[in-house]
Amino acid sequence: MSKKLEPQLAAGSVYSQSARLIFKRNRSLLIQPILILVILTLMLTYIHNHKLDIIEKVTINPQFIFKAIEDHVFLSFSAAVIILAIAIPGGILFTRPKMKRFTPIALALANIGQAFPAVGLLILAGINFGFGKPVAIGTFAAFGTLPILRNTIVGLQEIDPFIVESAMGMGMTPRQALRKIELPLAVPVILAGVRTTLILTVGVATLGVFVNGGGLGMLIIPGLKLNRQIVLLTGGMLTIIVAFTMDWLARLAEEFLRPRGI
Amino acid sequence: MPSVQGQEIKLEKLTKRYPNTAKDAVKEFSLTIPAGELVVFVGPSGCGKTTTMKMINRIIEPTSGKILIGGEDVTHTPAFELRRNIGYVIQQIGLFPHMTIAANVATVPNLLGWDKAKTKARVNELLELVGLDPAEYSNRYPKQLSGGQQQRVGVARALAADPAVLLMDEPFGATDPITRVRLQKEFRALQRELKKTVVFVTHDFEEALLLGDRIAVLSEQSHVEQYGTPLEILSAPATDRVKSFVGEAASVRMLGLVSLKEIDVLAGANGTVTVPETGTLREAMEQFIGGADVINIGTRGHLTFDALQNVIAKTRSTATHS
Amino acid sequence: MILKPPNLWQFIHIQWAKILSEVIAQVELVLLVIAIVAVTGILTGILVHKHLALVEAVTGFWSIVYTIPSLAMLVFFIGPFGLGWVPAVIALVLYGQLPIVRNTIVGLRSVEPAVMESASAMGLKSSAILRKIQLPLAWPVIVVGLRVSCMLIFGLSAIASYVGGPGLGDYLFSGLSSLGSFNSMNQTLVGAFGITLLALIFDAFFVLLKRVTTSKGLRIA
Repeated sequence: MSKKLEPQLAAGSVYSQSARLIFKRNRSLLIQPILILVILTLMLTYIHNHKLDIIEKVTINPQFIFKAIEDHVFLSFSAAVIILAIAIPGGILFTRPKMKRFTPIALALANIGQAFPAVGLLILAGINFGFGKPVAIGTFAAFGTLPILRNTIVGLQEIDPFIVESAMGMGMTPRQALRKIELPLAVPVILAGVRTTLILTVGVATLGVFVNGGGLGMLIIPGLKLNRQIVLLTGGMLTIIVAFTMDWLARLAEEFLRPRGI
Repeated sequence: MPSVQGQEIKLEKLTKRYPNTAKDAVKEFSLTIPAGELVVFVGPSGCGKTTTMKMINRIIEPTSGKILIGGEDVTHTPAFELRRNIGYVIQQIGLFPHMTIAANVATVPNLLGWDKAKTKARVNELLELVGLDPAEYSNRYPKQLSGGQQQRVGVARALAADPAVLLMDEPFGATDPITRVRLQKEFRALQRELKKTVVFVTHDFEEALLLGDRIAVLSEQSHVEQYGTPLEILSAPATDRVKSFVGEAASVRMLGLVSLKEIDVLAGANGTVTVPETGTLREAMEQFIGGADVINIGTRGHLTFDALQNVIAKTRSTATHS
Repeated sequence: MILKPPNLWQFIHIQWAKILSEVIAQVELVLLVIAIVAVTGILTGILVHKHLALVEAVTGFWSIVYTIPSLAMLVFFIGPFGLGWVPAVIALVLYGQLPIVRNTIVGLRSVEPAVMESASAMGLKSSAILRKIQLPLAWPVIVVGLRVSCMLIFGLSAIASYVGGPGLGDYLFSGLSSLGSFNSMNQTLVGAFGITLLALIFDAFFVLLKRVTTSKGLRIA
C-alpha cells in the first residue's frame, strides 16, 4: 500500500502517473507558431509565383478567403460553445455521488455515439433539416458533445478521491467541496476539454461545405471538383493554419490558466 | 493560545453493514473514550478499525448505533457541522494541491468565518507547533514538500480550529521509519500539552504502545478483544488473539513503560551506578545486565536485583487488578 | 405507372450485392490500416519509451498531426498519388498513430520500477524484459489504443470516400449528390449506419480481445 503512495507523494501530483505523462508541459508551444509561419510563407510564396487563371481567381482572392476563414471560425466556435455548455456541466453532474450509477450508461452511450461518422450525421441532417449554417452547427455540436462529455467524466474521475475525502472530513458541505476543491482541481481537465473541443470543431467544420455551411472546405471541394491544384492546396494549407492557430491558442490558455501547485 | 480540552466520546453499538455483503463490517462496537486521552485502535488489516473511526465523524454513515461527544448525541446532527469541530488526519494526507500550505491549514477557520488576522496568527502558530518555519513554508505548495513535511501540515490543518476531538488514521504511515519515529515522538509531546481526545488508528503495535493512553485491540468486525492501558495489555493479555498480536517479549517491553519516579526504592544511595529518575525500569534492567550489583535511582534511593524483581511483580499485579 | 419509392429494406435488398462489396472494401481498408498502424505505432512506442525527450518529441509530433483536419490532410496526398485508396490509406495511417503510440508508451512506462529492477537483477536482458514483462503488462493499454484508433479510422474513412477511398462512405456522398431522388435518403442511411455498425462490431472485438488476452493476474477482480 505504501509503495503506491510514494510516487504520488513525491511527485505531488493530483493525477495518476499515466495522465501526467500526457499533460506534461509541451514544447510544441514554441514549435507550433514556427510551423504556422512556415506554412503561411510557403502558401503565400506558392500563390505569388503561380499565375492564377480565371477560375482560380474566383476562390483565391482576399474576400473569398477571409469569408471562408470567418465562416469557419464562426462554425467551430458556435459548435464549441454548445458542446462545452452541455458537456462540462454534464461531466460534473455525472461525477456527483448521487449520479454515479448513471455514469456507466453515459460512458457507454458516448462510446456508441463515437462510432457514427461525422460526415454521415451531417449529410443525414442536411437531407432532413435542410442546408445552411444552423444545421451544420447543430450537427457538429451533436457529434462533439458525447466524446467531450466522456473526456470530462474520465478526467474528473482521475482526481485523487482522498483529497475530496479530506475536504468533507473537515466539514465542507458537498457544494463547498465542489466549489473550493474539486472545480479548481478540475480546471486542467476542463481546459484540455476546451482544447479538444476546438480541435474537433475546427476539423469537422471543413465538412460544412457539404451542407452549404461555408468554411474552408469551400476552397478544397471546388479545387477537387474543378481539378485546380492550387485551389486545393491553398485550401488545405489555410485549413491547417487555422487549425494549428486555434490549437496553439488553446494550449497557451491551458498553460497560463492552470492553477499553481498542480 | 490556550487550547480547547478534549471531550469524552461514547460509542454505543456502532454497526456498519455494506449492501450485498454477508457480514457486518463493524458489529455493535461500544467503547468510551475518556476526555483528553489518546486511544489507539489497533488490529490487523481488514478488522474494521478505520471504518469504525470514520463513523465517528460520519464520513462513513453508521448503519445503526449512537455516537455521543461530550455527552451530546451527534448521530443525527448535520455531518458538516459535526466535522468542523473534529480534526481529521488520514493516511493519504489529502492536502489540497492547488492551495498554499497556509491556505490549507486555514481551511476550517475560513469555513467557520474567523477573521483574517486571527486566522493568520493561528496558521503561523500551528506551523511552528509542527516544526515548520512559517516564513519558509506558508507560501509553498504541497508538491514542494517531502512526505514527512506534508504529514506535519496535515496535522497542523487538523488542529487549526482547535477541535476537542482528533481522528487520525495511520497518519504517519506513509513515511520512512526514521521520520516516522520522529513524528511519533513529536506528536506525543504535542498531545501531552494539548490534551485533545484523540482516536488513533494503526496496525503497528509499537506505535500504539508509544502513543496510547489506552489501547483497544480489535479483531474482525471491530470486535474489542481488550481495552486497557498499554501496561495492562502487555502484562495481562486477555485473549490468545491479543497475545499473538502483542507478540514476543511482552515483559521486556513492559519495562519500558514504567517510570522510575513511580516505583518503591530502598533507602540509601550506596550504588555503583546512578540511573536518573526520568528513565524507566528498562534502563535499570540494562544496568544490572551490564554487571552492576546495586544501582541508585536518582537521589531517591537504590535498587538491588532482587528489589527490582519485586517491583516488577508488584507492577504486574497492580496492572492486572486495576 | 408511378413507381413507389423503395423503403430502406427494399433498397438494401435490391442493392445487396453492391452493398456487400462495399462492406468488404471497407473492412479491407480498415484491416489494412490497422495492421500498418499497429506495427508502426507499437514499434515506435517500443523504440522511444525509455527516453523522455524522445517521448515528448514523438507524442508532440503526432499530436500536431492529429490536429490537422482530415479533408486538408487528404488533399496533400491527392497531389502525388491521385484520387483513390492510396491517399486514404496514407492519411488514415497517419491519424491512427497517435492513440497507439501514446498508449504503447504509457503502457510500457507504467510498469513499476520495482518490477523492472527485479527482472534485471535476475539476469534478464533488456529485450527479454521487454518481451516477457513489459509488453504483457502494457498489453491491455495497447489494446485500448488499438480500439480508439480503429474507431477513429472508421469515422475518417467516411470522409476519405469523397476522394475515392473505398468503403460505405460512397453511399453517403452519392446520397448527397442525388438529393431529391427517391433513393437519396436510403443511400445516406446505408452509408451512415453501415459504417456505424461495422465500427461497433470492430469495437466489440477489441473489447473481447482485451478481456481474453489480459493475464488473470492483471484483471481487476
